[in-house]
Amino acid sequence: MGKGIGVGYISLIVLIPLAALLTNAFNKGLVSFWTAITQTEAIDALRLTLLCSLGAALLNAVAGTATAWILVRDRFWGQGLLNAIIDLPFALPTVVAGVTFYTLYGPLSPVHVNITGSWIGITVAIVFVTLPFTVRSVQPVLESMSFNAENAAATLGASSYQVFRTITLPTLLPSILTGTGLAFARAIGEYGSVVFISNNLPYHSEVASSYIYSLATSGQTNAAASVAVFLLMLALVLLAAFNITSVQLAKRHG
Amino acid sequence: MSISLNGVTKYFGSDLVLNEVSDEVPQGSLTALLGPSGSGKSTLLRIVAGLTSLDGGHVELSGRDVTDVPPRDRRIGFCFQDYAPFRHLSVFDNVAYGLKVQRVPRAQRRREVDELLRLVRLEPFADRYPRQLSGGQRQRMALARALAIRPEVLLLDEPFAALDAQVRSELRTWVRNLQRELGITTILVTHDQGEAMEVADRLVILNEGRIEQVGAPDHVYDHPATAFVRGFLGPTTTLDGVTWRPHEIELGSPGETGVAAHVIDVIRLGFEVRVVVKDHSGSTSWVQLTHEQSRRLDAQVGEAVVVRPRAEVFEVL
Repeated sequence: MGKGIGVGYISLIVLIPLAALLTNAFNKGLVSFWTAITQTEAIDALRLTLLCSLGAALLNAVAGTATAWILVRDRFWGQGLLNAIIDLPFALPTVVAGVTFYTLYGPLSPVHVNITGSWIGITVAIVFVTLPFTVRSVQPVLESMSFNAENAAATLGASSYQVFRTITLPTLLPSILTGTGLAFARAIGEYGSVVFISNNLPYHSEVASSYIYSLATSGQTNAAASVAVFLLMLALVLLAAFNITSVQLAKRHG
Repeated sequence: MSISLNGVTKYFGSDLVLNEVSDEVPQGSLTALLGPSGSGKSTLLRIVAGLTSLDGGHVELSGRDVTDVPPRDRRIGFCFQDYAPFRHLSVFDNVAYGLKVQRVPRAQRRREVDELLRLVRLEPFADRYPRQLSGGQRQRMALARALAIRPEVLLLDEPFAALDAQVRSELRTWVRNLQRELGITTILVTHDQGEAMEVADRLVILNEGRIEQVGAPDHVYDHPATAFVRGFLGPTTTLDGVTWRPHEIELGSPGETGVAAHVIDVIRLGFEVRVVVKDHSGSTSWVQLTHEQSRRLDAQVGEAVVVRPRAEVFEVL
């Protein structure tokens, strides 16, 4: 009974739309699929999306780990508030974030910073939306980590930096990879927060999700589905790579 | 290397956990810091290692004040209660860690680690990861790792607490022999009086952040300085308002000198037999007998007896 509901639910929400997408992508054959994803505009959009997403994920891997660190290891005024704010990018509609960035860092910027229409703007928007992933995956590991291994390293003659690099970081690495993988997968499909700040100039500042949208709204359903499927496959491969590495590391650590 | 503690004081918040603790640990000795949980013994051990700061007093190693010296510069081998393995490193790399951060050349490192692994009988496990080891093996790995830096002081925090009974007693003997062989000044923290008596050549008994008594195990056992030490070091029983060890009193036949009582229970614990008696005033005591003594006496529940201190105890007194 429970199993039936579970499978039915997953089918309805994920599998059926996925099947429809795959059908749409391949209903005119492989050649048509290949043509759709090798259009210069498609390649440019995919490349921009991947690079910005990777940059944002890596930036958040570092900043997110540092944030998790101060939330767990430090004590300061307003810590509880900061901890609560971390999840805000998940709660806030991404379009709201997009509009906010546009007014703050757009042509009418009160601080005279205009990052619209460039990879910088896109990356900043993605960094915002994916901020919670690394923080929330590293935080519990850091909380459950005993100080004894770090103390043991110190008594054996390691400096604080050596302790961090050789003991703390390897312990956190699986969770950092998991968080980064999730952030990356989320980033390559990001639309709402990016669409305003990117200006959507084809070949220049158009991300994949926005390109797919423009194809779909101009009646090119097959091409839109082809690019979408390709993006989906990329996300799956990268997510799998991050997860396998993370599980391998975690398994070894036991 | 000798260790001297001078008026070591530590607060956790407003709780006084160590109250002006002073002690001289002689070079080459194996001292057990013995006390109930919350007595401050682990905190004291961490202070010696420099892992916990102190609020008063100072610590000297061979006459050198190390109160403000960080742990990495103290050359103290520390074994944690949970062994604190480096989970992402193999057994070999765990043991090699101290030599690596001190930039000992690879070939020499290899030689020394191999030798240590032989010493702790973990050679076949060099390439394993800590999670693949048993509790006793992890404990020996932690010991080898601490010994790798050739420390002049070895500190062991409840080293046998997490092991099952048989492994525990094997490791105790092994650690004691190893300590004698290496002659390294060692402090071991334990809440188990039996363990402390068996392993240490010197006891420091802590209670509520203060030292109650210091001395050789036999001496402290026979001549406890305080009621706490007497109660903590072994079982006690009260006879006619006086506290005795249960093996210091004996049973006699009615009519002989002693406190008249009757047997209310006989508990057999292998080689030891406990006879519980109740005297005319209604208070109970218990007498510890060997199996042999018990067979000769053949005490039955309900039987009338007298209870008195053993003659040899009087001679000592």
